[in-house]
Amino acid sequence: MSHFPIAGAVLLAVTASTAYAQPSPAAPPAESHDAAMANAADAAAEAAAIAATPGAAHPADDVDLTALGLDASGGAIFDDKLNIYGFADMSWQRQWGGPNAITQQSFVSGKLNLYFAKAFTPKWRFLAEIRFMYAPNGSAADTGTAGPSTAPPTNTTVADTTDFNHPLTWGGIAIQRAYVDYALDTLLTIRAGHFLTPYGIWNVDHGSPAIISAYAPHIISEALFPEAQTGLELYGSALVGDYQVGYYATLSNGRSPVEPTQDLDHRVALGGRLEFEAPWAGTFKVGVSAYGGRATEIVTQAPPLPPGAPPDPTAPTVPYQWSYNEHDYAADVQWDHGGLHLQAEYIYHHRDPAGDIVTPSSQGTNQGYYVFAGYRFDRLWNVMPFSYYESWSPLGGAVNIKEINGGFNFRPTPAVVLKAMMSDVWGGSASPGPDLRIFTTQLTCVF
Amino acid sequence: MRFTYIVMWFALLAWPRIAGADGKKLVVVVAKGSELKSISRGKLKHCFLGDSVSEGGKTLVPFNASIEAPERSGFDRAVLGMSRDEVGEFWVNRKVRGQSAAPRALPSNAHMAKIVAKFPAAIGYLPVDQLTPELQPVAVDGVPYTDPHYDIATL
Repeated sequence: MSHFPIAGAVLLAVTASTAYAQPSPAAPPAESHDAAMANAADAAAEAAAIAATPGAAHPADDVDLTALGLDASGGAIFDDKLNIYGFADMSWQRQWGGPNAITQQSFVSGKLNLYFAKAFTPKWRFLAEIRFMYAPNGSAADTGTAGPSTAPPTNTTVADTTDFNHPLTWGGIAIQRAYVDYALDTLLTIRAGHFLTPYGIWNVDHGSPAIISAYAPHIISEALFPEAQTGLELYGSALVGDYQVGYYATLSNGRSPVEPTQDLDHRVALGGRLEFEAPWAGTFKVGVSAYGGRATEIVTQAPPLPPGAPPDPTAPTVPYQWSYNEHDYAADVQWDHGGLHLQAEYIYHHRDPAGDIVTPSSQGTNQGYYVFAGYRFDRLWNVMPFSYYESWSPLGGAVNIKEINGGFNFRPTPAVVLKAMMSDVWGGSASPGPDLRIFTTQLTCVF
Repeated sequence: MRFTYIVMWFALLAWPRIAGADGKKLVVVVAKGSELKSISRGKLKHCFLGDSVSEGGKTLVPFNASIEAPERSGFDRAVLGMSRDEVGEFWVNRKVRGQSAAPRALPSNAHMAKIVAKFPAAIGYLPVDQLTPELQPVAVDGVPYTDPHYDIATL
């Protein structure tokens, strides 16, 4: 446990001293994934690229623009192909720790997300991201609280009538986002559909290849801001000299389990973000975000009783709704200098009861922050040692969870990422050591 | 002792590699007759990193050299400040975020010359000896490619 602060200090000291080192060319990568991604929809261009001798001059008259999918008459330039790509990850995780920790270890087949992207014209664009899951198999109903659920896990094994009734275990899909963009101007793009909430750094990075550690901090994964919303998003940015200023504004159904298709409380939620980027000794970014709206939950169980009423075990289990008004605020900062990467986020969530039904989760404050540091070297599979510290006070305020994490992120090619990470978690128990230790290795790839 | 080993290990990893020798100058080009005569390095960087950049009433459409070409690594290092692997990582991460894809990578300098000359909004780069009369060189931060202080070159 005590080695983490030492390793973190060493990491910071070394990275600070090397951040000013002369940039140097990297060894040639094993594959030209960038080119492949850039031209994913253009096999002809890829073939030509492979056949071409780098840097060799070809007679311009021999250049066939139509083979590159370009309008030879000099019209609009855009890629109108349907691009399908995605990412996947798999992990091995072991957790153990204090007297109350559950010791367990598992291989985990994690995310399998597919993207569908298409530009109809230079201004109109569509994007959908679908996650394929084993859930609900093996998953318990959400109790609305952090930590393992006490409900029994779901078993989705059925008899497959198409295969002599052999057992078949089915899973589900989750539509992570599906929207259409209309780019009116660089200052204004209108987005309609289901989109990730534009706040902070981690929620936008979103996918396991893009995030450096094996999993997100609690303040992100516990959705202090809604992870996604359904409605309208307006965004744009402007370059002022070498500085970039950007904004986002959202209008949505707000938070609820059925928010992609219904606004249960008939009240729109509003949100926004302002961000600023400057070329200060590398790239410096800072942003602030806010969100407010009414959240409505649906629970299938006996409704809560009035204060002081005796419990009624015979009360029927029925679906009922309860609501709260939430106000969320966040601030984030990021600085990249050569291989050095620093980022931090603070998120504040407050809720007050709305309506007649008040539950223990109807009110309170949920807040926390993390501070992250890493340095990407250009050798040993582009290894990035990283460390981050998180402090999180969940709803109710009775517990303050502190977590220190350290690990390595290897990127042998841009499309393949290997991670190994150790986490020590303190939840306020009286035991001398951490309440929970988690070791995770993860392999993730983009295809 | 273990602390010393850790420090030595990170120091070894961080030891900078030696930069390459001077290469050929790379000229930023647009179509002849364009209103774009000069561009800031910051705008050029944003343009080639997927941000929408307008100049002279047109939204610029960037074109890259192929990832293996020395022109590409020179441009990426001088303008974007990234190595080949860093550029690959940058674009893969952007795709995962659902953001715009990388500029098209063209298979040869002849492709670059023809496309930039043909499309008024296109912007690219070429070795100085590949300039054609249909192309217009663009100064970077007001520094023309003929200036001895111009520093965009192949590695």
